Formats: sequence, C-alpha cells, structure tokens
Amino acid sequence: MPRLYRHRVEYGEELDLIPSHEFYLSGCDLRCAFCIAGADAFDPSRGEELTSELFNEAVEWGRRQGARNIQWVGGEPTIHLPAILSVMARCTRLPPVVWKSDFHFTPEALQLLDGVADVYVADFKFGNDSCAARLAGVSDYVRIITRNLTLAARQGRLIVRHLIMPGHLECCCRPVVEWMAHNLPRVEFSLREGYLPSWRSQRYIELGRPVNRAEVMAAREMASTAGLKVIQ
Amino acid sequence: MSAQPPPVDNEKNITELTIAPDGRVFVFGTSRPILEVLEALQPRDKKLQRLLEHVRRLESSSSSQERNGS
Repeated sequence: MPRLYRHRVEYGEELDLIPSHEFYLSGCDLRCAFCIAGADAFDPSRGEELTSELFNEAVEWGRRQGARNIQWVGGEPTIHLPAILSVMARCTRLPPVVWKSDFHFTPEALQLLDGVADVYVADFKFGNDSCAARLAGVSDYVRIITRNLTLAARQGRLIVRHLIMPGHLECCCRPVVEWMAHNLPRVEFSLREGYLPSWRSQRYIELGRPVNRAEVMAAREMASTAGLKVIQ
Repeated sequence: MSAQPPPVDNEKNITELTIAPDGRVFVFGTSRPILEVLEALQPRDKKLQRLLEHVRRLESSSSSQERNGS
C-alpha cells in the first residue's frame, strides 16, 4: 500500500495546470543527488496509507479549494500504479488526472495509464547515460526515457520538463533540447529554473550551488533556437 | 465540512522559500497565500505577475460561474 506524505493545492506548476491538487507519495525508483524532496521521497514508510477513504476525502477538500485537477507526484507515483488505479476507480467524482513522473518505467505501465491520465508531466532530467548513472544511479536512462516519451505523446497531452542544472548545460540541457526538436517538436516543453542544491548535491562539485541567471538565459536560448514549444 | 485538509503529516505541509544572494526567490510548494507574499517580495518580477494575472482571471471566472449558478 503506498503512503501519502503530503497533499496540497499548489500554484507553482505550468499555468495550464494550476491550481493543482498534488498528492505526494513516498518511495522512488531513482536517487537523484539533488532531489528536493530527499528523504520523504525515498523512504516508502513515510506518510499515511493511501486508502480510498483518505483519497476521496482529500479529493473533495481539493475541489473545495478550487483545484482543477489532481496530480500524482512523488517520489515516483508509477511504482505504486496498481494501488493508485484502485483508489481512483473507487472515486465517485474523479477530477482530471495529471501524472507527474520521472518516466523511468515499462511500456506496460504506460498501457495501464492510457485513458486514465489526462496529462503526463514528464521529467527529462539527463541528456546522457553517464550523468544519469553518476547523479541518479540509473543505467540505460536515455533509451528508456525517450522510448516512453514517444509512446506517451501518442496517447494524449504530454508536457516535458527539464530542470536546468548548474554545470550541465552542454551535457544534459542541450541533448534534451535537441532530442525534443528532432522527435517531439510540437510537444509542450517546460524549462524549470528552480534548481537548488539539496540532499546529496554537495557531493558533486558542480551541483553545490543554485543555477545562475546566465545558465537560465542560455537554456532558454537553446530551446528557443531549436524551435521548441516552450510553455510557462 | 471541515476547511482543513485530511491530516497527512501536517508538519511536512510547509512552503519552502530560499532567497539567493542575488535576490532571486526559490519556492517549493506555492500555495495561494504564498503568491501574495511573493508579490510583496518581488513586485517587479514579470513571471510572477503573469502567474498572478492568470490566477486572478481563473478566480474571477470561477466567481462569475458561481454567481450564475453554473
């Protein structure tokens, strides 16, 4: 049974999604050194059991707060997919569903989400396997993520996010932008500027500071020059 | 009906603000009241202004719909 360690209505998402009622589940398949949620995200014993009663009550509360959708976040919600599908199936007034994910999952997971998720919000964090292995402890990253992005784009609305990381403009941001331009040029692309050195980021010399204005401007220029459909 | 959300580890239900030396404000977990705080902190931030305009339009539209009973 997944555990919910926080839920609240948030306004820091892409404009089209807010206000969004976010459900934070503990447990994650990645270990990104800079994860802002850190221990809460990684320890699956944190939070309350996600029961149908808790979920339904929370959904109604969110509706009264003006939320336009519910958004599953983590950790990584896909590792709890069967339980999430179960509580949503028992919800009598289910709002539109946003699936915010690291997109490091199997094609079968995406099949189960087809027709359930109204919007996918995908993190495309690393532009190469070396940075993914070094910073998130995961192998074969680019092949898995790009496969899943391609499949999700065929299902419905997809927003691809890229968090601008300090010192990773050329190795990560540029390949991500180039892949998007060649493969999913009409898919909405969201550059996130809020990187902060969290969790174990101080272990990596380049990650131990916030991203600076010049890096943000350079990333925006890359996306713009590539002709991506950048959204706020 | 309670105005409070179903309790889930409320101690974690906080907004985290980090202010960089160059004045940039980083926010994790932006609630509606926090938008007002940010507006007071950064009245000339264009991105924030766009966000607030968008939110106020949504709220105004929602209020109109409630008044019209739709």
